[in-house]
Amino acid sequence: MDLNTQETLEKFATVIRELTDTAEYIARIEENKAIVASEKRHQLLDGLIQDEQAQILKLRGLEQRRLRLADSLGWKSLTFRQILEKAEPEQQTLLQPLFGELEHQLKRLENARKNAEQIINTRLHEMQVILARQQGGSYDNTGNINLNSPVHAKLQNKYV
Amino acid sequence: MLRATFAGFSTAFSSVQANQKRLDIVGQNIANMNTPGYTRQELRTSSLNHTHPVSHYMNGAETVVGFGVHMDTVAQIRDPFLDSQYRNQMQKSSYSDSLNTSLTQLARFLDESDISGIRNAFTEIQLTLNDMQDASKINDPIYESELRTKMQTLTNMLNDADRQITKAEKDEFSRLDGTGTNENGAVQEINDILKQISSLNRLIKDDQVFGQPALELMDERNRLLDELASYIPIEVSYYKDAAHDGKDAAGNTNTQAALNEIYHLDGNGDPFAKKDWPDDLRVEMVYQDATGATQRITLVEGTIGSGTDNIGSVEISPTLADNDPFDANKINLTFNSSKYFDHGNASGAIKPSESVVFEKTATGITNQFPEHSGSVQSSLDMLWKDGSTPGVSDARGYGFYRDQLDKLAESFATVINTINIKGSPQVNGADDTTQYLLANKDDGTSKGITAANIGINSQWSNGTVHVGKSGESSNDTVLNLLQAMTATYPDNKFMNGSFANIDLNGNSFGDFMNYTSTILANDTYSNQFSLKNNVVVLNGIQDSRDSISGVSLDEEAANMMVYMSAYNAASRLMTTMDEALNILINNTGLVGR
Repeated sequence: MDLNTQETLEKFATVIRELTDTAEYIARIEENKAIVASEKRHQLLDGLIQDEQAQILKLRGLEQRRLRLADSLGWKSLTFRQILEKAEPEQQTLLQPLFGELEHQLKRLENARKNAEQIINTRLHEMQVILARQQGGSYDNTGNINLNSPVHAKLQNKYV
Repeated sequence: MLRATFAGFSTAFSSVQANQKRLDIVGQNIANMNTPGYTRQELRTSSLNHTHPVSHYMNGAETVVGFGVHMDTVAQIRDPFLDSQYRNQMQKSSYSDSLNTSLTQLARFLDESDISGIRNAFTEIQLTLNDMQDASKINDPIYESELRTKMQTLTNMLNDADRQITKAEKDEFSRLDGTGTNENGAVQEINDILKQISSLNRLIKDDQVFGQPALELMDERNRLLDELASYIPIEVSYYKDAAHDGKDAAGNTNTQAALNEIYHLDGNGDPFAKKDWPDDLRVEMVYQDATGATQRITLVEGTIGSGTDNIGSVEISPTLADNDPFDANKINLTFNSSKYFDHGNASGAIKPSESVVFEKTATGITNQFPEHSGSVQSSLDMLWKDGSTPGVSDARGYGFYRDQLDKLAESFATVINTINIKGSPQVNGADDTTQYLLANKDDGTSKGITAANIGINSQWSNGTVHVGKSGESSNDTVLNLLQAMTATYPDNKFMNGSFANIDLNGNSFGDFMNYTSTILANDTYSNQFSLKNNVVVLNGIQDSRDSISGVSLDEEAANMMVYMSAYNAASRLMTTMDEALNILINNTGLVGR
């Protein structure tokens, strides 16, 4: 491995480390979003979302850099697994744990995101229920709230 | 035209009856506010009125007034969306909880932060070699004996760690299959729950056909569905049975036969009222096939057929007793669908039952659950996934940690034996390959060494084999052994690259154990965080569910007052009607009286 490649590889490894840190940071924000939504402290959500948006921009920037560096290392459009298969043994030893940790943090992020989404959907549903009650909406047979139904939609004709 | 004389009384009477019923229901709710699984009840009512003139003799300008209130049914206040969310989250929490149990059990013997374990045994060997490096001590049998004892301690620890992993695997298996233990495993629990749900389906429908709402039975069924969701990923749906789903035998919805399934039809075949036929409940298990496509298998199909026709089952094989020596890779789970089911089919069309097998093969895992879905998946992940299962999103189960220990044992034995053979006198100009110190206890050779079988070569114990003393200096071998203890692998230079193929992820022997412990600690920490997060969200959804389905004393007290006022007003209406009638009968038309 020549000096230039070595330098690029180091940069690539640094970007992967930064990606891992950013993914972990966003995962923590998502976990906090899930917690504050679960505990009905919705006023904190706004701050978390703003923080998260900044981190997502950072993540995008890092991803662009990663793609450029992968390109110059001859790994254009390759997945992490394909890179490991193609990499030299020394490169493998360096990259394998980094990829493993990044994958781990991305899984954590995915799980946290699903959790946050689930509880936020639940809270939105609660609001819909409250609105439906105020506006006289009703449930249909599948439990979905029909917000458009007028009050008299609840009334049924009975034959006497 | 005058209104019927006593019509107003009927209206008031229906109101009194309805409000009395509401008060009864408030009483029932308050009485059961602490009953587990109880769902808040309410009276569903509708206004009684005419839809169109019923008499040819009515005036055209008739102003029609309703005839009071109709008590439709006593219903539970449940929100299917929240039920679905709760069960979904229950699967995740249960997965993390079960995984936490497994990882904690592993940490008891692999986490060496607080105990003197394998890492310490390597250090002890290194210290002994350090003492031995003095050339004067090489020939002292006491030092060699001490080295052998330290090696013995290490091999015993590796053997024990392997045994503990096997024990953890067996315990995990017992959580799946309770056969032969005093507790039910997940398989028995799932089958038991399916039987109960199937039986409740029939009881509930029988009651509902006769107009009984069977609310308490539905509470019990909902509780069982929540419990089932903690084991496997399920989807619950309600549907009308084949004779009432509005589809004829050919699956058409616009024929007379189809309409007749839903509506009461008059002589002209026009619908004049909707039939009130109870829903059936279907339970499906969600899984992914080998291609990753989402599939479903029906485990409970409403009330179809008779006896156990509507119920599926799960089987596990082999049992613990038949699986000796224990091999987690031989385990397979078979989910059988209900004998009959008609999901997605035209009414009446019945498919034969089907089975789905979850097993590990050479090419990967045949079928698997979606990520984080229930305790069964957690057990299968721990038993099957070793960090290198082909074709699946992999986790680090028992197999991974056993592989790590095996790798450590084999690498250590290879390095130690190679150095000792090189340091022993040659026979006929070639290395004497019998001069190995560590052996496979099963066959006494230096081949196929794992954590389970690593031991001291019996020839070393009985004095036939010794630590090598050949080379430029008699302590060369000891010095090499000492260097081997601190080298990191793969090592391309040590012993002329003899150990370039030994891969311990850039660690020395002792550090590799730390490295493995760190992986376990990271997995445990990450899972504990996930568990905490999942439980917080589960509690959040539970709160939402309780706010709708649970009994709130404040709300019931407020309702009680509202219903009592309505009851009073209806009674007052009767009195007013009575006064109006009195005027009509006694004070009308008698001019000047």
